[in-house]
Amino acid sequence: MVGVGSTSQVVKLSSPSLGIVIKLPFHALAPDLIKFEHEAQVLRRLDRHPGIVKWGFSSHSFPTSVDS
Amino acid sequence: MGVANESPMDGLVFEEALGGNLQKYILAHHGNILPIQRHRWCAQAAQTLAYCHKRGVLHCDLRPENFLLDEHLDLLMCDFGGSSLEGHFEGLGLPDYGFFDPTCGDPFTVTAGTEIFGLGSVMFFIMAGALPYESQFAQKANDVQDYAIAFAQKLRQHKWAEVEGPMASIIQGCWTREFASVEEVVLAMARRRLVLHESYHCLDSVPT
Repeated sequence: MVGVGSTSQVVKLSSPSLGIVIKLPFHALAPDLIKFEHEAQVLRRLDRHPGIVKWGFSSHSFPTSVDS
Repeated sequence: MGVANESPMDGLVFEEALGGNLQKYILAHHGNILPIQRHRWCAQAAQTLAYCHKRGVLHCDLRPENFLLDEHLDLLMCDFGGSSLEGHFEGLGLPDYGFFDPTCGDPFTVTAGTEIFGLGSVMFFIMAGALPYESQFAQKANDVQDYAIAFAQKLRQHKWAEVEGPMASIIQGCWTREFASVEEVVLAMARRRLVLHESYHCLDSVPT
């Protein structure tokens, strides 16, 4: 898994071997979490269409913070 | 150091698009792309945007970078983070210069009309391999502000970037608000036989 980029909204991770990109919310910024949820809501509305990038929800939870 | 907690919210997983994004692909292969492939991309962009609008979604950031290409070189629209759903906006909701009309009403509000204008610019890029007027402002194109000013001036003068071939009237129509909906763009393309039934490899026909 390698990082392919991040914005203030999300972190994108790419796994070339699996052929997937995972977009994770950047939980440190609450408004951006809302934006991430918005994208998920829009994708749900668009359902499956051949012209929309193929997507799904990951089946795992992700760490949101790290203590040191 | 350890993980402190787990989010109850899952991430979004996307299939990696093997062809990369449309902008990079066209810039890398511009001289070798057949007209029929370009028409197919225009049709796919219009059909997908029409579907989005029918489902109450405005993309709000139409540009060639937000279309990916799969292994068949079929277009895949992506990045809905700033889109609107049933009029509810997130983010700034504005595409880049060249992909919205800064002279039209409130330029900072995305509407179906704004999206049709942007679709025209995406189609222009597909056909010409450049942004509208980019060749005239090549040196300035790197400066977003200069390009934006030059672009707006051209629009105020009703000077549209020239396009050749059967897509010309469609693209001009998108820029001049000839179409009331993206569906009308698709129908106009179908009348000119620019929409193929086998537009996508994975289906016999595209659902609407």
